[in-house]
Amino acid sequence: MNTFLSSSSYRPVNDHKLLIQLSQVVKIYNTAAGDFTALNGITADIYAGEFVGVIGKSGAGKTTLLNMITGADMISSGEVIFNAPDGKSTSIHKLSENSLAVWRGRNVGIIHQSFQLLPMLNLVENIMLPVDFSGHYKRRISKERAFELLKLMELEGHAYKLPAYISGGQKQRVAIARSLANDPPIIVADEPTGSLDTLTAENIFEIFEKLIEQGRTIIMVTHDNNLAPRFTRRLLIADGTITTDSGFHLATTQVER
Amino acid sequence: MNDTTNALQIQLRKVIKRFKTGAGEYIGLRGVDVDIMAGQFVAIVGKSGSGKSTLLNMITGIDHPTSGEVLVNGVNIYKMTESERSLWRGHNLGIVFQFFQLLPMLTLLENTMLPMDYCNAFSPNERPERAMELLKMVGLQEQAHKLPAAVSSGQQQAAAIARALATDPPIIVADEPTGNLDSRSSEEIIELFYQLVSKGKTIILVTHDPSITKRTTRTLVISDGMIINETVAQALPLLNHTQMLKVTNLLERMDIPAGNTIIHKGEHIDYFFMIAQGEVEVVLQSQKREEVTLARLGAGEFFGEVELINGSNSIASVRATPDGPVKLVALHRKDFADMLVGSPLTEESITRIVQARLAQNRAADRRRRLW
Repeated sequence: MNTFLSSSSYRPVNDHKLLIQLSQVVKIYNTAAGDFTALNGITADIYAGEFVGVIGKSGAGKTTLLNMITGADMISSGEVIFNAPDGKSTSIHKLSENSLAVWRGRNVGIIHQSFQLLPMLNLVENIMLPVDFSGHYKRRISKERAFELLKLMELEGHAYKLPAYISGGQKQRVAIARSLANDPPIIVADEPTGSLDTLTAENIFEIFEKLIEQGRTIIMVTHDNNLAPRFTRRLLIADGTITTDSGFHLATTQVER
Repeated sequence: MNDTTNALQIQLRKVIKRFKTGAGEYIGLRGVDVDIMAGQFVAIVGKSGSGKSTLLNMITGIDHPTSGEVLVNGVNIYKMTESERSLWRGHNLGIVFQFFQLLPMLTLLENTMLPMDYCNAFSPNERPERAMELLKMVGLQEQAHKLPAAVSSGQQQAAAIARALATDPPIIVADEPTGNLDSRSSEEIIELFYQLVSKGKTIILVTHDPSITKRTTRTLVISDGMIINETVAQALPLLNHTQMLKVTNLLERMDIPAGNTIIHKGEHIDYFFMIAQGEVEVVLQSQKREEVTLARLGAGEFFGEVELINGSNSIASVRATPDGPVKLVALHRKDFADMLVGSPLTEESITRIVQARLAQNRAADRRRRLW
């Protein structure tokens, strides 16, 4: 899978820069039954090139945390700061809705447990779907790029098939290809192996590890404790707080903090 | 929702679907014939692996039949190229899935606009407004600019329904649309479907959810890749699906013109009759040759069981009403007996009906003698 490297502007990095800073992140939902605190003051620094596992039980706040990082949902208090490779810092929850959509389109790829592919479109079309409307379709990628991504996922032979004709693992690879369309530095994945069998899940995990090798940053939510040793960074979360943070250390790199 | 006035919209003709798997060939559909009329609300039910979703995929063109034909509004959808079919689908079918399949990077409004963009339906300036109207209709105007991740599962499915309606297709198809929702959200989604049917849309959905089948106009039960005769499913609900399918394969069909007599009083009877369409009247003649109508029976009801169970000759005459012709499906006496042996629950329920009908008959007979 050497093609991984050629598809991206990212390279294995030695200087792991501070990429995302979560600072006292609080998320409270106002429900009919009263206020519900989903996140209760989350603070963590995520460095470029980390493979972060957000691990916890159902209802612990894992997905809410992802939504705070992608700006998919509004923050109640606290801050999420994104430090671009060019040194520019953005407090993403202070952006207007449109700017946030543009930021997300450039910087984040999202992967879901249930793939979220459109079953009536073939694989190339699914990958070419606009990832961000705010750019008025300018961000719709070319067919060549879509094919390049399919090739990366070893699916080029299936390009014109509808999702119904491929397996669950293949669907998730299409979703990964789609998430890479704009070559974003951050990939967030919510239980991406949750509906796959063990062997297929392993295949997806290996793809993520390649992406990490290539210098991308992946934040993955899982309830599966067994996966913990595979991440370079583990955030254990319970009742809306981080109970354990394994901290940032990559054996292969020297880091200045 | 008067079926007889509505046009035939979807026809499946001898549809067979075989899958090749590592373990050999597997038959998903074994020759399915179905007619669906415009405006019907149809549930497809069956056990897991029975062929429900495969059947739905034949209608959406998402999968291809191995043989047989599928006609939608008279168009053979498998005679098109893949890209023609894709465009055809965009204009004619709205599809709703169990896991919503909303694009995570787009707001609900943008997701709803997607089919219009894809099919070039409505002018580009109209699209955002139309999308907003549809979201309003499903109760999501407040959430229109949110991403799917920021709303509940029920709201995501409501948005998926708005998206399915974007190109104003005549047919909505849904695969387990409430399969991933809590019961309250399910209720709301079912209510939405119901409103769409009352506005004239045809809705076909695959479901396990009994609260949906309660509200549909029609239920197709599928078992082992074949559709169970709908009259059998209605008349003999206590059989299991395998038994229903067995009965389906043994049926004889009869068409009776309006007013014609099906059985005469006193005659020997060899069949158990189930009414598929139309109405029959059960009549006795008085000594003065005046007629007493004991009962009118309609679709899903049956007759002939009294005689088969008691071994007697016919206790009354049965004829098609003068209002219209009657379609019957009939089960031979021997197959009827086998069926009862296989299903004690059905036997018990039919025996109870026999007793009630005999009592009614005796009462009428007493009255008749007084005349």
